Amino acid sequence: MGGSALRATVRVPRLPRPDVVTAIPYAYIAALSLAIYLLEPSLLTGPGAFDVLATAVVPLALVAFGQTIAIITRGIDLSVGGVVSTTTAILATHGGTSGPTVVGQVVLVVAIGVLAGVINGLLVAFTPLQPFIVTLATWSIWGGIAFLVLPIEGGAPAPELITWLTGAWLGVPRSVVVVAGLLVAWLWLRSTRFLIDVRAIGSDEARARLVGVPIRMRKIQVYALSGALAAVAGVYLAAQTGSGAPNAGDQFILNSVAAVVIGGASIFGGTGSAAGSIVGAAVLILIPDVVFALRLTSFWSVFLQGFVLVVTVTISSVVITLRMRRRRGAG
Amino acid sequence: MDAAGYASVAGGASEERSADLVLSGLRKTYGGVVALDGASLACFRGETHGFVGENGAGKSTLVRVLSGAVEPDAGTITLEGQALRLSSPADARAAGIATVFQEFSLIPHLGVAQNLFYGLEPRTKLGRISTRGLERAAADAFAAHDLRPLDPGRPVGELRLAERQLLEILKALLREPRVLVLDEPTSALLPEQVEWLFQTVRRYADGGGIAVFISHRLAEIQTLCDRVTVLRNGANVGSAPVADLPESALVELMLGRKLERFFPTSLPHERVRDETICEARGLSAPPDLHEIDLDVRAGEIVGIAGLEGQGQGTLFKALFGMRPANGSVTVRGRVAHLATPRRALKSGIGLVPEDRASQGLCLTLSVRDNIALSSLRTVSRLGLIDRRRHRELVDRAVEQFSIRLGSPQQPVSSLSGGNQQKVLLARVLATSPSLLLLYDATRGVDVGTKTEIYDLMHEICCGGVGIVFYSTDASELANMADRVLVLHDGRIRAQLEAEEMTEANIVAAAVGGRGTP
Amino acid sequence: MSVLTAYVVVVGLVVAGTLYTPGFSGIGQLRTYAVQASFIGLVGLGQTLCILTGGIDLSVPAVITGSAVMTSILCHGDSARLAPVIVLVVCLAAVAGVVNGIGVAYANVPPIIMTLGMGGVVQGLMLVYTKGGISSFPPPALARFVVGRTLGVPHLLWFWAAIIATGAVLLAVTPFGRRLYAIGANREAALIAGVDVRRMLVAPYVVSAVGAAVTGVLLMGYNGQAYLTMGDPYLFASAAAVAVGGASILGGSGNYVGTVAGALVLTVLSALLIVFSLGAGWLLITYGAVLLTAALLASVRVQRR
Repeated sequence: MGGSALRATVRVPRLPRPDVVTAIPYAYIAALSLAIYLLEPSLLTGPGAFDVLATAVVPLALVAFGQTIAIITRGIDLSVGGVVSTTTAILATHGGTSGPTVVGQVVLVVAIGVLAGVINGLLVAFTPLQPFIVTLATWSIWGGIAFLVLPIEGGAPAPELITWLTGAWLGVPRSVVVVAGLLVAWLWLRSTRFLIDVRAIGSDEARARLVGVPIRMRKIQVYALSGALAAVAGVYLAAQTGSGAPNAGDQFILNSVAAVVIGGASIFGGTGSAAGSIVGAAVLILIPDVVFALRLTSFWSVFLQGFVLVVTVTISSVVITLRMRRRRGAG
Repeated sequence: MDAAGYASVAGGASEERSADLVLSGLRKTYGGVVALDGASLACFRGETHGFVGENGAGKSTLVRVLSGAVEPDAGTITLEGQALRLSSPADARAAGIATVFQEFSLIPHLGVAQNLFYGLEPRTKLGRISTRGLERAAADAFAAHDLRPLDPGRPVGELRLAERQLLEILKALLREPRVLVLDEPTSALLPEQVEWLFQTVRRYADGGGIAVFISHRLAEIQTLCDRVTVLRNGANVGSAPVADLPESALVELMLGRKLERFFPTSLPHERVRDETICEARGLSAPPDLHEIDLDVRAGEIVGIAGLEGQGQGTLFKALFGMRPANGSVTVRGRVAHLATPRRALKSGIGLVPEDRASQGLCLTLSVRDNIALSSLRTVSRLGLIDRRRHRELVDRAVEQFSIRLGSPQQPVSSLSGGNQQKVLLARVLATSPSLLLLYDATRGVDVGTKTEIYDLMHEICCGGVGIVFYSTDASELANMADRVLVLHDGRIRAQLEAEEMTEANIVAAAVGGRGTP
Repeated sequence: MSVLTAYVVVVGLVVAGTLYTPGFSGIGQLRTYAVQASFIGLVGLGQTLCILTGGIDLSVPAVITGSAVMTSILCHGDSARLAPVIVLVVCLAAVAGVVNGIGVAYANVPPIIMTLGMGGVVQGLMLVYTKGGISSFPPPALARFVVGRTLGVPHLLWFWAAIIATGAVLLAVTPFGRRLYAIGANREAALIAGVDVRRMLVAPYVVSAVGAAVTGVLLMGYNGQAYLTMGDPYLFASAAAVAVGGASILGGSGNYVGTVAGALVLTVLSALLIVFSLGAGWLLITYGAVLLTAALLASVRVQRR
């Protein structure tokens, strides 16, 4: 029987080995937590410390979630900066009693986020332009719109918004609920057809077409999701800071990409985990705490966030490149 | 001997009428190159139909047409009396045609089970795809087809070639197709795996399916298939029950009488001087290339033959510094350090690569820029390009290679394929190499230009350059080379010289069964 | 859009502005446009090289601001310190550029991510260095140079003219330039043709960083001060200028003369916005829209070939 001969020749099944890239976020978080614990334990163990951390993580985690999906398709969404800025600007200028209700405001800004994403998606899907050029341009456009809405830093969002989004729910801080909700959403999303398609596009677009993946529709959905999540992040940011700024969102570009890269996604597409990116976001949020614990000026954290991105992306890029070369050699 | 004799065997109208899958009059051209020129195919349910032809005969285009990846310019496809229009892979799938692609349709980052069941996944209430359900289904599928199961969650990109090949086959079978197209499914498989495949295909055909089996290996066609169709230059040249066509007859049909090819009338063997230009010893790049010894003398053309993927690509890459390899290479007595293509060029080795568009030329740049790209240093003075020398170099090349163009400033992409190939040759030869590597340099080139390239090769050799010449066209090797090395599995399997270096012998040595020289 | 079209657009915009307000094309106005365009143009040289090879440099805003701030603080209004400080600033920028280049060329990091990260690093170092606030003014010598004229033409324009000549020569008639185009057009083919692709790929990022540093210093002299967001518009402006100049964002085509036209288009456009009393928001929207349109036109042109 041919089959029995076959059994001798095919490799025994085994679980994928844990690799360097996926271990990176946990290594960072362990190292940073340890450093903070040793230097300034109250930042981790003090009353409400976890709540504070979760609150700070929420906006970045939201943006990083969408960025993860974009990067899995081998794209990138730089326009999140402009979208977050526009959202916070709109909310910060509508804090008064007049105008649409708070719910209406939130619906409006999320719709704007979706619109921004759909425009990105259409351009990426139907033109030969690369995602980075498309979203660089729309980043500029939405950044400009934010300036039109709110020319200088200031304003105040509706007080209800702040009470809604902060505080606790059945004793659990709302921010913690949101982060948990995002993790659950990822657990659901990662085994949907949508995400399989997204990974197929990032892994090998030509073969994905051969298999019948609806590539254009998926790309539009991916950028729409990223835009919507960026808008929600803007809502949180407005509530947390209690004001708006025309360039409030720009920091999210570097930090969301950094969170995704730290979170173990491949910058060459095909793999990535939003859960990892959320951990990556936590790493980036812990950096200011470490800087504080080290009694350095807070400005070091900007440097360190960039530095962590550069170092991590270089490591993961070299690891992935070597792995691909080895695999191609064996092919 | 004429092909028409066999063609008549299949030409009977009775077969055309009752066939279950009929492809007829398929035409497809890619930018002027004719890939399919009225090709047709008639298959029956319960039959395994072999499909053979030389490289470039149009087999892979026909597979693409059947799988919906490429729409033909003309022609019809009828399945069980129903006319089909296959304008996307989804159409082909809906029509019940599943294809085992030569280059696979597996997504590297997705898991084994996700790949196997893409598009067939059972979904739970929440719109998720149950990972456990998928894994169970995968385990069942492996068991049902008598295959050792693979870890269903493992990314396909991490699998070995043979494992991927089996997966690609299994994936097609799971779609329970009415037509199963297998494009070169055995090249990566071990003998016992080939045996498994044959049994599986037979079982599939016995169950009323139509199997179309494409292979270079004529022995396999003889073993597995009921009938066989031969394709040459994009058109059918014969179709008959396998029993009526012994291997030798198949080879003849595949080759045909190539009256259309013109080789230099006299290639005096005396041009080969007794001076070794290049000496490679123990060249190895596991797992693709093992212990190759190669000597090239001045003025000699060494032909390389072999089926797709037998190490010829790796050999050329190793000789040109694109793939790290063990062993030693000397050029004109000096050790060549082949770390990068730049070093290889400095050592006097030039390469005309396989794919002109993706590896050879900068298509959007001008003819002038392309020709001078490898010799910018020699036309520069004080860090600036000397306009006069630059122009002279380009003009000389255009004249020597009789490149037909309006102006050297026009983009290379605006030239015909043949002229593009000459631009590429001109660029390589402008570096005055001692050893010239030609990897299928006449592929996708019209007949007239082919003749010119042959003449050029002749001329280059007379100038004392050695050439290593890989070609998928056996007649080219037989007519141009001084000797031919046949590669198999990364090793030199046969060396053919003088009288034994015929087209038929080259093909036979390349396609021959395992272990036979 | 070909280079010629871009220049026609510049003239068209000036004419349009003049029809609206006659003063739009006064000689003083035109001089001002040219001087403002020179800043975009100086950043644009490096950006052109990066985009030619299929990359981009997102770290220019941070380098512009960083160099301006450093120069302002280190000189502390003392003209004697200007020369050594400029040398120092340019060297530091070159280091940032080399890091970008090595990341892109040797570690295979996508240019967007590498330069985004380096932008953060440079900006962070600048913030640490300044502790978030600057109160200084440019050394008089710098201010004098920037506003001064020779033969009626501002020094900045002489300087830019020299850069234009260098950039045009570099791309058109040096082996370096031709190889750069080859890499942009087809990296694999360039490698097989014997181009040292990796080493070549570092250069655009160094040129970009050095150009951004010089721009920062000059901009500080022109504005009379350094501030923390002064570099921000130049990322969009430089990318848009390159795209308007006809470079395909897909790499391999375009030249610096085109980018110069792009810089002029953007500057005249922003002057038009001011005429219509439209502010900073509209400027950013314009940059984005121009970048998108020009990139689309360039890609259509490449496809049609």
